[in-house]
Amino acid sequence: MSNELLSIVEARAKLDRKELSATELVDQCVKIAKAKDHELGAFLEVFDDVSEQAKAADTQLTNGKAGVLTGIPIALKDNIVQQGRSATAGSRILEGFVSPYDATVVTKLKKAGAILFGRTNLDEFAMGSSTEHSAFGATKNPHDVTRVPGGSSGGSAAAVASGIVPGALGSDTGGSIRQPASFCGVVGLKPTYGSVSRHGLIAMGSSLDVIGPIARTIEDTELLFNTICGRDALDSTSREGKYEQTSTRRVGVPRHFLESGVDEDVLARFDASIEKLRENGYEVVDVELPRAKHALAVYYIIMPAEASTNLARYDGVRFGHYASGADGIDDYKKSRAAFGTEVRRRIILGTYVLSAGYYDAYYNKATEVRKLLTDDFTETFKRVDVIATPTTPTPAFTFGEKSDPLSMYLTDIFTVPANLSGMPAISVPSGLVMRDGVELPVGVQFTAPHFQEERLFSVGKVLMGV
Amino acid sequence: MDKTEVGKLANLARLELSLEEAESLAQEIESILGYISEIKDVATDTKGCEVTAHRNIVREDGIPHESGIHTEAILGNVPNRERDFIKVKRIIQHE
Repeated sequence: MSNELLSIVEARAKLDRKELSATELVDQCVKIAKAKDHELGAFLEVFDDVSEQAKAADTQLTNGKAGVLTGIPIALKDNIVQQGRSATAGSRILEGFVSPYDATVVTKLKKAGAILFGRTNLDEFAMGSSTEHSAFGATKNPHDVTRVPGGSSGGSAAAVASGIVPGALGSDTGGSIRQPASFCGVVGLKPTYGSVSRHGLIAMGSSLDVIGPIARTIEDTELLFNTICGRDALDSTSREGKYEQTSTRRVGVPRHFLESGVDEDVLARFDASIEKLRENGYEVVDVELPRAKHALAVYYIIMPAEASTNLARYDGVRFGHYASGADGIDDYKKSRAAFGTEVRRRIILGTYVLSAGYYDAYYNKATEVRKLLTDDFTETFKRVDVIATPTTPTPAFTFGEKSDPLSMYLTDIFTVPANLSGMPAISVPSGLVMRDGVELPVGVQFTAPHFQEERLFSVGKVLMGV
Repeated sequence: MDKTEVGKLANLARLELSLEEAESLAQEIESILGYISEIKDVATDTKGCEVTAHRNIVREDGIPHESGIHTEAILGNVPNRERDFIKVKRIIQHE
């Protein structure tokens, strides 16, 4: 029997019942990767020690010492570091870098028994919505290889959607987990800001970045989130959440926000999802988020400002690519030539909005509007339990379709508010739409107040028919 | 935004741009600025506001680990190393 599309929970049950061994499961994953990944390009590396990891897992299973993820292969976006292994962030500038330590999420996955399967492709430094901007080539959408998988966690989403692994970790700064999950027909969670340690995550926008899971079911997403969350002394921005079990009954829909720019078929799938919730006893309420329309403008000021600051460390001195120049400053410039175009664009933009004379007009103003936008959400959550929108305005686009950077940025309209407000949000598959004779998945996104991930899982379970 | 201004910013950010790249970046950034400038018209009365109530939580100061145990792993990544030092080009020039 094929174990190709077993969920984590199903595979764990089979491992416990000895109907399946970790070695068999991992062999199967390697086989699928070999068959599919030369075309998809989801992985930058499948680790050569997966069989040894599987053997160790089988020993643990036999000895009755298994953790919640023992024997389960999990892929990691290649901006999450692992001791003794390369980490590229999809960039040539980290050429030759070997991490001296494990990210905290890696430590937690190892402790839970997971098999670390490989490093997945991403837009360079997680900057992009299509995985076309990886220095190591684009990843393709498993549903239609002429289309992008989304991004920047496109490799992780494609790896899960194609059945290579049952779960993966990604990172989300403006939608980088949820948007590829939507394009690939899987579940993606952006947790509350600070709920998951970022120690060992290669930083982009430090007031926005968060690590989260991608999986095929809500239960698996929940299991992965519970494994990686929690306060970590190694990340001063991490916090212990006060998670509450509350019943989720009222769904807010910001209709005014969906009026223009949303593809008709995507909107139809969204309406069908909302209808399904109504049939299941949910009350659907129209809500207003008056400042939501400014989210993208705010985001494309704050993110490049923070990214240009974070990327100052890549100078060829302590790690990564080095190229010799005429003097010290020229060394920096020659070494930093390894950055790709999108990264250079954001560094220049960030340098501009932070420079004297423009700081108040852009960066300061953006932080003020960010606060107002967050207030809109906080206020709305006094009346509803979750807020629903489509995850993306369209299904997956074709390669090269968004060659103008601004048109690429506009695809993030529904996902950036959760990063600006720090609130958790999930993308759940909402059905298929037809494009050029191919069925493409689309997603519905739910947002909840800080540390109310539980509400997202409960509404997701209703939609996915659990 | 013109290519001279892009060149100035690139120098501040320690990036080297070809003339062609500076020209195309100037155009693209101009169009992005056109879009993000809409926030200038948003009414705000929150001057100097806190973005979030979330503050850094730092550990108590102390000795986190034995000195020197990570030296090799860290210096192993250094492009130019001399003994246990990172080697860079001369910074102060003689007259």
